[in-house]
Amino acid sequence: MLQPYVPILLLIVFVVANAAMFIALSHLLSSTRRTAVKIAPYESGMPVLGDARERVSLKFYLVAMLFIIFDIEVVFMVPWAVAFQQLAGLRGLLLIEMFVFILILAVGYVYVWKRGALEWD
Amino acid sequence: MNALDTTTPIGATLALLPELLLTGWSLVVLLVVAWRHEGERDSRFAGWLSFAGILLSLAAVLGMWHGDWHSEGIAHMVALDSFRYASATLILLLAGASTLLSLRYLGRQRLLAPEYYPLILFATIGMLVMAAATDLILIFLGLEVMSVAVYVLSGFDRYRRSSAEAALKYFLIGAFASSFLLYGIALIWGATGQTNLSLIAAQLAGGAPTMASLGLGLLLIGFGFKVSAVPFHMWAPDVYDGAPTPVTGFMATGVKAAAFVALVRVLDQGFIAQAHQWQPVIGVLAVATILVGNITALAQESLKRMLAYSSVAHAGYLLVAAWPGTAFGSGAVLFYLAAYCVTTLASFGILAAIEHVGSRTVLIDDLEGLFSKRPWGATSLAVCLLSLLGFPGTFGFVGKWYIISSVLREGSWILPVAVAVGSLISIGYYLPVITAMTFKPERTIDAHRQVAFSRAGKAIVAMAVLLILLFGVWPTALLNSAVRSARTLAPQAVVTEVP
Repeated sequence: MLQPYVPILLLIVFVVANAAMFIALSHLLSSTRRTAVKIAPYESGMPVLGDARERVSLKFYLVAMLFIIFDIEVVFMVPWAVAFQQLAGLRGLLLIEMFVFILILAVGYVYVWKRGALEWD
Repeated sequence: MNALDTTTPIGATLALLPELLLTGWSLVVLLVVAWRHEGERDSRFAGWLSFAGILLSLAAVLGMWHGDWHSEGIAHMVALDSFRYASATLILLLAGASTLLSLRYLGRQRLLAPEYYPLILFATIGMLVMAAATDLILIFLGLEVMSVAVYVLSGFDRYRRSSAEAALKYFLIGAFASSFLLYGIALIWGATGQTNLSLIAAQLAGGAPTMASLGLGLLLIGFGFKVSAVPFHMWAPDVYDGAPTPVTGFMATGVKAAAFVALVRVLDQGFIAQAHQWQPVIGVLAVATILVGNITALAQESLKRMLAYSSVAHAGYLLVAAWPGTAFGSGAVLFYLAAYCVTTLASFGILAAIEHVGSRTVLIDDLEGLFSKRPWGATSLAVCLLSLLGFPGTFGFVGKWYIISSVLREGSWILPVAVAVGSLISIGYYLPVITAMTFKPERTIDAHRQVAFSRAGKAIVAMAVLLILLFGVWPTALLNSAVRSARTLAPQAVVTEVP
């Protein structure tokens, strides 16, 4: 039963061994001379400006989250369209279901809008 | 009309009638909330509107139950049996009672975002789907709908640190648990090629391959987290303690009830042929949950944390009832769920009325002298605690009695002993509360002045106490109904192969 999975196992073993080998080799063969310039963080050859750990306004997260929600829900329409092509007998039902889905989305959208989540200030 | 073919669009739609009604209603409530979200008036309005939706859905469930709607052939995706109707009725009653208990509490504690009520509705929809699902994927879907709403509810008091902590903890642990459940479903699908419980049972009738057993084990871990069985209970006390009290009541009853009915359906309908494999696991989980829950509850000083650990211990008793896998055992699960849920929800309702505005921790010592100031409230709390303890003449006693007798029928003696020992230990933390309320004088003259029951809260608590006493002395009708419902759980004979 597990026969077909043997190549996958071999692949995993090979990948892990390969990675381990390269790390080990680079440790064994390299020479380490640490200077101030060498251990500095690399940022496209530019001197580093400020700290990466800045506080970001919560509004960005909210917008990003809303975007992802609506984005994923639109992605859902792609498999629906494929099913619509294949299930010729159920087209009426599929169409109604998609309208119901969009209606639910629209209610969420109206709610988000009225509640002021889309206002930037 | 009574027999629905769930493979046709009309049949599937009608089979989901209570859930669809509630979904539509919750969207309406959400739109109302979008326009009206200022102050206490709007919050109460949203609350009553949600309550009306719950009643509507309850009417649909009762209509389907009364009309004896059942499925033609095997139930695809959605069950149409009394077990579903009974558990859906329980869940909807809990949701309605939680809504009414929240009305005054949210106003007092200044938690005036009316989104609270649509969230309760969304969680209830998830619970109903879990109670109805006969397909592992649909169970998972219901679980997620329920959980996501409850994560938000537990963090509803967002300016309080412990509430935010509860939400984050619940969310992370819940996501972790969901992944176990999903992995289990994937393995079972890999082994059988099915996600429908009856079809899985047909595939596994002659014995389960290792992959299916492994999947079942992962499913049990996932459910163990959701019902807070030891050793997967670590999140429960903190989350129950941090969440607003009516939400805690809803979580400790509704979420647990939904998870238990789904678990019982999975075990009895999908994996009954593998009973020898899951019974030891359920048994060990049950004993560990009873002992750890009860012993840890002894050390609690806060009433809410004590009730949280007591709810963990009660998950253990319910696991004992799930152990036999017979109609009598699963009937005992339903019966004890009803007893536990009514009692626990009323206890949290009383606790919500006792809490001070702002500082939420009510210590057991704070209850001293409650009886002389608030005789009805204190008596109700005492009745609830006695029922949780399993005192003769209460709902909880009859429930425990049936659990023990259903397990004894299957020839186990360790589990009944564990239930009895657990109940004995629990005397050690339920009785001090009652003695503090009745025999000790209040500490200050103005003690218990903050206690404020709303009219709806009074009605709910009074009804719960009456039910506890009524079913404590006259349980026959309810028990017969529970066993009859559980009998519909047996795996359905698969007539035709489904491609």
